[in-house]
Amino acid sequence: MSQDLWNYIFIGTSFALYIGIAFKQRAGSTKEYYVAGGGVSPFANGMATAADWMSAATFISMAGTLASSGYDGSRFLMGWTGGFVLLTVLMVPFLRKFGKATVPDFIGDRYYSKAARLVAIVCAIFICLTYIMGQMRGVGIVFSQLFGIGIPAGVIIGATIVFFYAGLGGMKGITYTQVAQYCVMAFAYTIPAIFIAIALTGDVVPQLGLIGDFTKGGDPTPFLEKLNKINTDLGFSKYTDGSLSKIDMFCITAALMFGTAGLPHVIVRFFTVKNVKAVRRSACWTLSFIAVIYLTAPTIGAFARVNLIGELHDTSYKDAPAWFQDFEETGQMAWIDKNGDGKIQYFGPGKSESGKDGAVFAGKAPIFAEGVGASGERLLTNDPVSASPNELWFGKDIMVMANPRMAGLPKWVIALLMAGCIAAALSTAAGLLLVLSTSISHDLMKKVVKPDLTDKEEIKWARLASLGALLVAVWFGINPPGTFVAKTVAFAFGLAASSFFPALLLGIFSKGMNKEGAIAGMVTGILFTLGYIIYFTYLGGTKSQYLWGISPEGIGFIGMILNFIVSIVVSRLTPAPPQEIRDLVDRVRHP
Amino acid sequence: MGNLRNGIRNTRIWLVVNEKGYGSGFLSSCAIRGLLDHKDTKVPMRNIQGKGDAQDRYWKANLQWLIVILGTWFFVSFGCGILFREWLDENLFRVGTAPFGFWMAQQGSIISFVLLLIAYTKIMNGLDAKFKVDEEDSK
Repeated sequence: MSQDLWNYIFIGTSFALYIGIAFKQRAGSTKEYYVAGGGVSPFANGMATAADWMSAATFISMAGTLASSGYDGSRFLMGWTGGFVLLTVLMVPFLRKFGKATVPDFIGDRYYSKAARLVAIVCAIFICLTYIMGQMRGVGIVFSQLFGIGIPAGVIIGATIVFFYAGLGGMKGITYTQVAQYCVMAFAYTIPAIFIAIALTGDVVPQLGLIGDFTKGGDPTPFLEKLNKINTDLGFSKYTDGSLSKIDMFCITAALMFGTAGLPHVIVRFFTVKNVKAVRRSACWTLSFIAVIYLTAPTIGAFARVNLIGELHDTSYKDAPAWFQDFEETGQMAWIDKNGDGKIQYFGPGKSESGKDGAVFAGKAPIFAEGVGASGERLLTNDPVSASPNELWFGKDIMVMANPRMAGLPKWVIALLMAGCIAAALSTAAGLLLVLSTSISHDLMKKVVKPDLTDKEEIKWARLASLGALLVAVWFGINPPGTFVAKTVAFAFGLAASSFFPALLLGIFSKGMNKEGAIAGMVTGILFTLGYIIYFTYLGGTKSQYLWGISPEGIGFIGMILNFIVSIVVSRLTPAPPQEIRDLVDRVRHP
Repeated sequence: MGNLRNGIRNTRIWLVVNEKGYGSGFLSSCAIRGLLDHKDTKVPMRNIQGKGDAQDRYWKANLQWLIVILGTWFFVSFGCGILFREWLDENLFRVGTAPFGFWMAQQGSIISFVLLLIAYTKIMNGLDAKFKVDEEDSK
C-alpha cells in the first residue's frame, strides 16, 4: 500500500470518529455550549484538557526546536509543564469556586467594573488570536505535507474543518472529541519514538535511550556525548549546552509558565468538573497525560538530530533519501550547493567566518525560483551567504513529521503521526475558538452591549464570532509573526502572563486590590509586551536593541512584573474596594 | 449530636494550630488527637471561635502549603534546570549517561511537577476535610 493510502485511512478514520462524537454530543443549551453542562469526570476531563493543552506547537514544533537547539528547547518543556503547576495551585480551584464560565467574567465581577471586564475581553481576544494563529500554521504544515501542496492552501483546508466541528459541538462536543484526540496523539507520538529508540540505542523506552548508550554501528558510546560530538564537529554548540543567554532562557521559561497560568482557554476547562476536589484530581490527571508526551519530546528531538545529520550531511543530492525531495517540494527544506561538489553540507555557526552566523541564505525563509540546479535541486532567489559553508536549510516545524521517514519506519507509523499532528492542532484550535467566541458572545454582547440577549441569539453570536476569528487566524497562519510555530505560540503566552496572570492572582490573594489598580496593570502589561513584540517582529528591531538581552518571546515576564508594580502602586493611591468585594474574595478562598 | 461532633473537630484543630503552628501540625495532630478524644468536649468551640476564625486558619494553612509547593516548583525548574545547570552538569552525578542539570531541564523537572501536583491534591483535599470545608458532591 502506498503512503498516501495509509495517510487517508488513518486520517479519515480519526476524522469520522471526531465528527461522529461531536455530532452525537452537540450542545443543546448555552450551558452545555460553554461548560459541557458541568458534569464531566476528572479522568475524561484530564484527558480532554491535555489534548486542549498540547497544541500543534507542542506536537509539531517542540521536538523540532529541541532537535535544532538542544538544551535551549528545555524552555518549552519546563515552561509549559511548570506553568500547569502554577495554574493548578494558584488559579483553578479558586476560579472554579467562583463559578463563572469565563475569565473576563471573573475580572469583571471581582473588579466590580465594566471597564475591567472590557479590558479583560480585549486581552482574551488578543491572546487567543495569537495562539490560534500558531495552530492554524501547524494545521497548514500538516495538510501541506499530506497533499503535497503549499502551506497557505493547507491552512485554508484546516480552518474549514475546525470551523465545522468547533461551531457545531460547543464545549460538550469538544470535550469528548478531545478525549479521542488525546489517545490518537499519545500513540502517534510515542510509537515512532519507541521504534527509533530501538534502532539507535537498543532501548525500548525512549527516555532510557536518551540517558543510555548509542549502539547503532560500532561501540556503544553515551548517547548525549555522541550527540555533543556530532554537534561540535559541525560547528554547533554542544547539544547539552545550547546558545541562549541565561537571562533570556530564564525570562522565556518564566513567560511561558506564568502565561500558562493566565490562559483563558485552559482555565475554562476546569469549569466543566463538578467540584473543587474533582478539579484537583482532574489537574493531576491532566499533567500526567501531558507528561507522557513531554517526556517523549526530548527523545524525539535528540534522535531526529542524529538521524538528520547522519542521513544528509555529506551525502550527494542525487543519493539523498526520497523524503528530502518531498520536503523540498513543499518548501520546508532547501539546499544551495555553495561549493559546487553536489553534496549536501550541514554546518553550524562555528564554521562560519564570523563564528556566529550559520545562515544558508539571506532572509528568513527560502523563496524558490523556477527551474532546477546542476544536481536537480530547486533553485532559490535568496542570496547565498558566502561567509558560512552551511548549505542546508530546514523549517524546524517539520522535524517531527520527517523523523519517522528519516528513520525509515513503516508507512502506517507515519500515517498515524499525521493523524496525531492533525488531532493536536485541531483540538487546541477548537478549544481556543470556543473561548474566543464566548468572549465575544457572552462577555461582550450579553454582559456589556445587549443584556437582554436570548440563549439562541447568544449561540448565534458565538458561531459568528468563531467564523470571524478564524478568518483572522487564517490570514496570520499564512503570514505568521514567528519563524516557527512554537515561537508564535510563545507570544500568546507572553501576552497572557503580562495581562491576566497578575489580575487573577491579586484578585484572589489580595483583598485590597481594586479596579483602578487591576485595569492600569493589565493595560500597562499588555501594551508593553505587545509593543515590544510588534517592534521586534514587524518594525525591524534588531537583536542588539533587546532590553537586557531579552528576546520578544521572554518579554512577557518583564511585562508581568510591570503589571504587578503598576497594579499595587495604583491600588494604594486609589479608594479600597467595597466590602462586598472583600466578602466575595473570602468566599472564593474557601471551597 | 451532629453539632457536638463538629465541636470536637473544631477543638482539635484549634489546639493543633495553636500549639504546633499550621505547617508542622499534620504529624503531631495524630498524637494530640488521642489526648483530645478523652477530653471534656461539651463546650462547642465553634460558637466561641466563630466561623470567620476557622476560615482564617484554613486560609493561612493553605498559604503555607502553597509556599512549600511553589518553593519546590521553583527549585526543580528554574534552580536545577536554568540557574545552577552548568554547575550541576559539572559537579553532580549523572543520570544514566546524561549530565544532571541537562536531565533535570528535559526530564527531571517534568517528573517532579507530576509528583508535586499529586502531593498538592492529597494535602489540599486533606486540609479541606480537616477544616470541614469540602464541598458537597452535588452543586
